[in-house]
Amino acid sequence: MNASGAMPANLSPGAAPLEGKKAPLLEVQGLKTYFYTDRGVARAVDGVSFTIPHRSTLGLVGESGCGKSVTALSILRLIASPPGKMIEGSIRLEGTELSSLSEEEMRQVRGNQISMIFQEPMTSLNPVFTVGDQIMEALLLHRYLDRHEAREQAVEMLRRVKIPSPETLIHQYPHQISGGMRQRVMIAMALVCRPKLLIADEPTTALDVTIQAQILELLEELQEEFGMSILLITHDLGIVADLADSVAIMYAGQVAEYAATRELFASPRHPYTLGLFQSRPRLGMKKERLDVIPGVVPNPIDFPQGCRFHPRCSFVAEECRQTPASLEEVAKEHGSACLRVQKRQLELSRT
Amino acid sequence: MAEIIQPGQKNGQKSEKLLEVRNLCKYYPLRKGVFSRVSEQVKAVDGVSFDIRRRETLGLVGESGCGKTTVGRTILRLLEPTAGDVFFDGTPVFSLPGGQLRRIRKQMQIIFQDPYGSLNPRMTVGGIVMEGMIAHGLYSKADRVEKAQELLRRVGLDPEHFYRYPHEFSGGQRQRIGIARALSVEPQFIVCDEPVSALDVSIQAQIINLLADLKKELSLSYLFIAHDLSVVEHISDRVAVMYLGKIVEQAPGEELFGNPLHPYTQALLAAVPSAEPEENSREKKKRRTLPGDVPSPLHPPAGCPFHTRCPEVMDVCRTEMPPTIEKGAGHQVACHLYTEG
Repeated sequence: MNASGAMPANLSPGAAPLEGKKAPLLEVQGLKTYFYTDRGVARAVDGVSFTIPHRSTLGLVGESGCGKSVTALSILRLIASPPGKMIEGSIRLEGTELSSLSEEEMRQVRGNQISMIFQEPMTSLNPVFTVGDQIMEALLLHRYLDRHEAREQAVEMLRRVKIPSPETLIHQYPHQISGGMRQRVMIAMALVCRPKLLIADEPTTALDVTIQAQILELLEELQEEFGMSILLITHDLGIVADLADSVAIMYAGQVAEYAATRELFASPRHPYTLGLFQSRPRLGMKKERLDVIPGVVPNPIDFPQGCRFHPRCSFVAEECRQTPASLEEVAKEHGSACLRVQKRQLELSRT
Repeated sequence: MAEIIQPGQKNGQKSEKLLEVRNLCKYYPLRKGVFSRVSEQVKAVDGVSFDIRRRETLGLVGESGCGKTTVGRTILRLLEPTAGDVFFDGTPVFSLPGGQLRRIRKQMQIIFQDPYGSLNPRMTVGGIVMEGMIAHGLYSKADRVEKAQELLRRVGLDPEHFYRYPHEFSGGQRQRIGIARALSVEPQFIVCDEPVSALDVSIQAQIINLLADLKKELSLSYLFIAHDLSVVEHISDRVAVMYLGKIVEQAPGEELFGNPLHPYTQALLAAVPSAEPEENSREKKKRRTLPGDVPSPLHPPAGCPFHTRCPEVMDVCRTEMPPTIEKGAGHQVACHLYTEG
């Protein structure tokens, strides 16, 4: 029943090699967030565990509906209830259990210790406030600065995200600036209180490739400068290869595979991960046909029995239809939820 | 410019070229004041020329706002052109009167990006697929139903889906409905306007394979508009790169991706994150980052439109628009770097 909830902490993606020295920045254990709808219970996140060490980036990869955004919102306790509810699991930020904090205490965490940037910068900025006001809001709220100091820091932050003339920009409204600039403003807002963790939910999906490259480079520089960790949510394996230290591949509300980025790209150990690699055309590697993953992502109200990926898996065996799969370490710090990989019946390779 | 712009009837016999686009322009007037006088013009498409041969896919790439979608729609006369010519199978599309235009539209169809917004929610799937047949007076009533169900099967849906409504389908399935609708009037040419960019990775691959199969089976030609370079490389025979309303480079796919000449094409290719972690070294990233934003098409820069962001900018680029020249077989580029000598 409890698929991956019982996974020991040291098996989680991104677990630091230095043991027991310092608690990881973020530890998510057996997280389950369900939505209670008229049509049934949607098990959007169904037993997800991972850890993010200090100063590191975890890529959370999956297709729409796999639960990656709900995972992020659960960490921030931003799930609308009803219909949603975190029913199980623990989320610890430097040892502090977030799920037991009061709403007041949680407000001190959001935007201060953990902040988030979203896919569509236009809809996440408030159209009736100037850019400056929106950046200053967090400083006034969390750092108790007066408006003058806050404005100075906002300008400084805008300079850090490489906005050409921040003194003029703080007086502008979101609709007056380009998409790339808006994303920079979002990043400035998120980082102005120097959070320990930045959750970036598809931060570049709405942007053009040349602007995407700028933003990715900026995120990497800022991470080095501020020493924060990043939870990077994306569907694009290229961005993960670019930015993440470790990767968790999500499918149907669970983690299908995790490993350090290089390890995962060099030897994927779950058929779904392999499918994601093979189905994407890659520059300079033209082939006649793409290898597709057949079928569609399952409905979270009605997940398949056994391994949740089995109806789409080209390596399916009888056992996969019966036995639910859970994460197990199959190589050093490399977890896979594929039953056949776990039993060494299956060797996968990227061709 | 003269060397590439040679309208339709060049070789008396039925030409290899299915579609010829010559100096296509689409300007949007901005009106101001009480009398709505035209104060300025947004040059969304500004002097675009290309050919599409029979059974060929031309990929049209560029960033948002570069005018690629406008090109697709203007060719079909879904938007009225400001200037230029389009010849479909030798017939000038822009000067056709209504009746003949309708006949030629049967040959030219479009698949849209948004599989949610482009299907009428009040019509059944069958109704959607048969609408074109009815408009063009194809088949008898009974044959239409049969034909539509056959099409649904062909695009990977169940013929039983004929009686259902669009909201009952997933994004990928809706895109299949859109494809069946386009195919229903047996066109020769389809404009695919970002057909997979709204879909998940695993579904994208299914639709790309379907489009490739259909092309082969039905001898179709595509204008494939997309911003995703790896998808375009996969599906296209030839590729044209647009920037601010102009085509800056055009070549056979292998040539363009293997030997990009225009600095913009080079930057575009370099900006795609590699799926190999080792290849994303710090140094490599530094080189690939193009500074600045795309300028507004309302006030495009003088000279070469790309000069404001170009790493190789020269003085001449700031004042003169570079001509389009041939560099090798079918490889055209509009950049001053190649005009000397």
